[in-house]
Amino acid sequence: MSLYSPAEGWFDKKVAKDEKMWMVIALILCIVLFVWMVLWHVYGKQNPSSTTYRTSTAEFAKLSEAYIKQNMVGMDNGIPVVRPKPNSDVFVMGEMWRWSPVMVLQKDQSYKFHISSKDVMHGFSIQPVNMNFQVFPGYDYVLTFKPTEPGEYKIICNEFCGIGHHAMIGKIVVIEKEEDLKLYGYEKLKKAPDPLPSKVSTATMTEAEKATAGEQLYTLKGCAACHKTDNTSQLAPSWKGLFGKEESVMENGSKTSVKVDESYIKESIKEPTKKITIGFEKTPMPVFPLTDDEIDQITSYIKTLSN
Amino acid sequence: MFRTCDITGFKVDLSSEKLIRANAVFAVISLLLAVTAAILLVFTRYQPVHLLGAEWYYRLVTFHGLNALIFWIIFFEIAGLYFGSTVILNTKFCSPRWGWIAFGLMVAGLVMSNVIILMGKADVMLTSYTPLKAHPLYYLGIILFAVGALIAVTLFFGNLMIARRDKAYGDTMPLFTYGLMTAAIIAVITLASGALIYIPTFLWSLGLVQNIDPAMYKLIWWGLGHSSQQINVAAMVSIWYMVSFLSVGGTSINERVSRSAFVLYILFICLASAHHLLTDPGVSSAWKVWNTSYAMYLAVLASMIHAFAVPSSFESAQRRWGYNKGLFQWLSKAPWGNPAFSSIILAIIGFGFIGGTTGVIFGMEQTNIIVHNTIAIPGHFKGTVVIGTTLTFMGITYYLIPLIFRRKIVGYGWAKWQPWLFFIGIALLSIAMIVLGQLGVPRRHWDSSFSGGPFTHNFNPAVDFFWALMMLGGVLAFLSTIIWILIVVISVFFGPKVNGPQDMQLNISPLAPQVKEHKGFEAPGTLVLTMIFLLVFIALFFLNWKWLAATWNVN
Amino acid sequence: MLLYLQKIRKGIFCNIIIPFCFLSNGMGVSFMFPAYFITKNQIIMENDKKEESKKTPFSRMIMDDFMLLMFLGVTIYAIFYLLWGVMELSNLPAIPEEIKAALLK
Repeated sequence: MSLYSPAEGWFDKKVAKDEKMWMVIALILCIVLFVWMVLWHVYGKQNPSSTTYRTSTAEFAKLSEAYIKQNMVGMDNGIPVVRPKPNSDVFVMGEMWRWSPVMVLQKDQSYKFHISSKDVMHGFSIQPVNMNFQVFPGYDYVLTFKPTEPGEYKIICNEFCGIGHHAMIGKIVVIEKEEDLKLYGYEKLKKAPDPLPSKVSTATMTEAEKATAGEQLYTLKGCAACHKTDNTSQLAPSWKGLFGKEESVMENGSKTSVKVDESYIKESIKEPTKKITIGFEKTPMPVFPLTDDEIDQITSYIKTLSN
Repeated sequence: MFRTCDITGFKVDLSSEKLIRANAVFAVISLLLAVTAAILLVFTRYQPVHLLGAEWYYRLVTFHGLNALIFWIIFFEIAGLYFGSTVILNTKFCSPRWGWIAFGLMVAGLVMSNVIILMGKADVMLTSYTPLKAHPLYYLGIILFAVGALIAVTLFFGNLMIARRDKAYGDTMPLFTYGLMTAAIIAVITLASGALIYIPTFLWSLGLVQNIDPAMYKLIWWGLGHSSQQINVAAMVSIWYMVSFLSVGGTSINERVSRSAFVLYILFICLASAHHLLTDPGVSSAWKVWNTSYAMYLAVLASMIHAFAVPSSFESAQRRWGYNKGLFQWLSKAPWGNPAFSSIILAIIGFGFIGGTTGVIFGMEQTNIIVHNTIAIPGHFKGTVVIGTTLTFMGITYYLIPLIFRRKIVGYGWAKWQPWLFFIGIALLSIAMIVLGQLGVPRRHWDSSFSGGPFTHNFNPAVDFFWALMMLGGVLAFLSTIIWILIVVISVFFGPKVNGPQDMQLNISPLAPQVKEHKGFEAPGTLVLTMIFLLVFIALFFLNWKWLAATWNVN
Repeated sequence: MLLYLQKIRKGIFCNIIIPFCFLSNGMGVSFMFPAYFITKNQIIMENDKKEESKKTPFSRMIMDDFMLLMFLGVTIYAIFYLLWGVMELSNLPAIPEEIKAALLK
């Protein structure tokens, strides 16, 4: 009995016919389920991969940046766009709070994605096809995708990664023929990637060249994830009209006012938490390792964004 | 010091009874905290209202997870473990002093972690995946709670050993206690994994450990995280057998079969923590397939055995009482007015059809791709731990108020309806979330319109309907939980005292008449029901695999 | 030709997964054995009338011994889930040099 010791002979009691029948059916179901999973690895076309490489956030960031530099054919809303060759390695980076790059893929071609994170865990979720994978910092997850339908897809993040989690959204465009590019506004994409003037020193660049370089750095280094140029400012101050502005900031716990000039921009990048703009205390800026030349180029770019 | 219960005849150790009451009270407090957060979360995800801001949304998701999945459930289970090892075995509690120490640690842990979360220093979700870092006191609170729970589980085994030594239960312990023993063994696995992961993470949060590898963390954490829910499964099934006994005088139609199923749980059910890592890098497919299948589905076999054994315990007893007409008279003439009975039957249906089916299917290595981290996942586990375990715990409480707290149930009329309201609410909530998830909606996500992002995404327009359904289900579930809490609190603290069997509002049935030999099917009605369950499972199975096949190719 | 190569690649996967499954089936059967022994064999042998033996059947002894069950439960979990998982995570290779070289040249 449930609450009393069982009756005499409980161990040797015959199992009822219907219970026996059900147990056999259940056992068959269990074996079928197991074998199904195994056979899907052989015959099925969707399997989480078993290829993972150990890496570090620094190494992967370097590789991702190099990949974008090598393959960038344009920009979309501040994110670099790449158009990988079929069967090539594509480096996808998740970081707080964006996915980069945007990818233009060909239907029915395979691409070897290398997915990792620059900081915390992220969730790689391709919608609306609804494929979901976990992304770890320090691990390169190699997944070979073959898109089967053309269209515009988004990569949303579905692993909590901080306050900007909901703003983390990337894009994949799958085309069948060249004309499809028009559907997504990508007809102006260059055929070959533009070589960035990274070997040229800032001293020999014109102001216009510096601004172009700065714009490329804006997408490459991740500034675009939080600093927008369309006057919205959910996570960080907008760069539109920023240069020359009088900004209210918190310094050492007291409110003060500062003029946004070259030296302030340099300080904001090297020591981001020294002065925090009022209204953005909850989203402190991480330290981005940039050279003085790069900061100079970014400053030139910001200058071009005045009202 | 004992009292002999004038209703059931069991010998109740008074020190054990005090501990059972204390743990039960804190279980209810935890549930109140959890459900208050829950309704705020429902109205935040329901974007026409979008109640909380992003910060408080994520904070309360952490808060709700901890209070619902850990504090409410484990406090209640500790009360149950004490009950099953002392009252049911007519034996004394081995060390009340350690019982109170365990209780104190658990309360301290609850307070510490909850305060730190509400202070905003632990916005890391219940899973607290590294490199997300919370304040050290968050981890310490959970460690204290886990240590207290481990002491309590040890005391359970201590009680069993005393009972065995004193031959308090003859040769073999009752089935109910056997099931609780299963739960307690799984608890040992759970809490040991918890110590293994939370102690280094705590030291890391203090700065004493350099780095906690995120893949190792996730692997070990889920040894705690999922196994803790398997404790619930074992405890819940045990209570199902108990309510069969109390409400219709039934018991498992074959004790050996039921006990073997519990043994399969002990041996294999904790392997399935792997289903949280199916779409992760690092571990191989071989590891994933072996572990997520609970070793070739042996533990699923155990669940399916209980799926027959539990309803058949009701049916067999009812048939022996004389309700033998047709396939389902045993069910139609069952004591539906008994809120414990209705809770359990609804819990069985909900757990089986909603939670169980989705659990097995989502937990297969490849179909996990289309649901991982979508809101289908919380939808699934509301179909197990809420509609199954929580409703079961609510149901058995209706017996424990008069039997352990010795009070009459205030608002008994409400008590009869509460399980139905809860069932409908959670069923709507759960099913809506599962559909939303299969349409791609993410979990733990504040804004489905992705405001502030460089792009936006529009989900299938059908989501609007299911968001509304989810909101409706959440409201019903919230209201019914508050009703339950009010009934419990008012009855326990202000209800009229129970002075004997005449004050029992819920019927305690005598043992169903025995039969010498049974020919043919013992529980044909149950067989039909399990076949229907099988058909539903097969339909959902093929649906999900078809959806998977329609996605891009990936390997 | 490509199709044939793809078949071989699948075959290699087959050769790892399928033998492993046979191995694990073997292990599984040895674990299933007590379960089988308890449920199926007893069902099949129900008609064999055994006289009341003084010593309790082996399977019943396991069932009643909760410390043994705890040991088995903890061990099976620790080996298959924890140990095996940790071993795999500790033995991952680094990103192959060719891939890195192609990017960083």
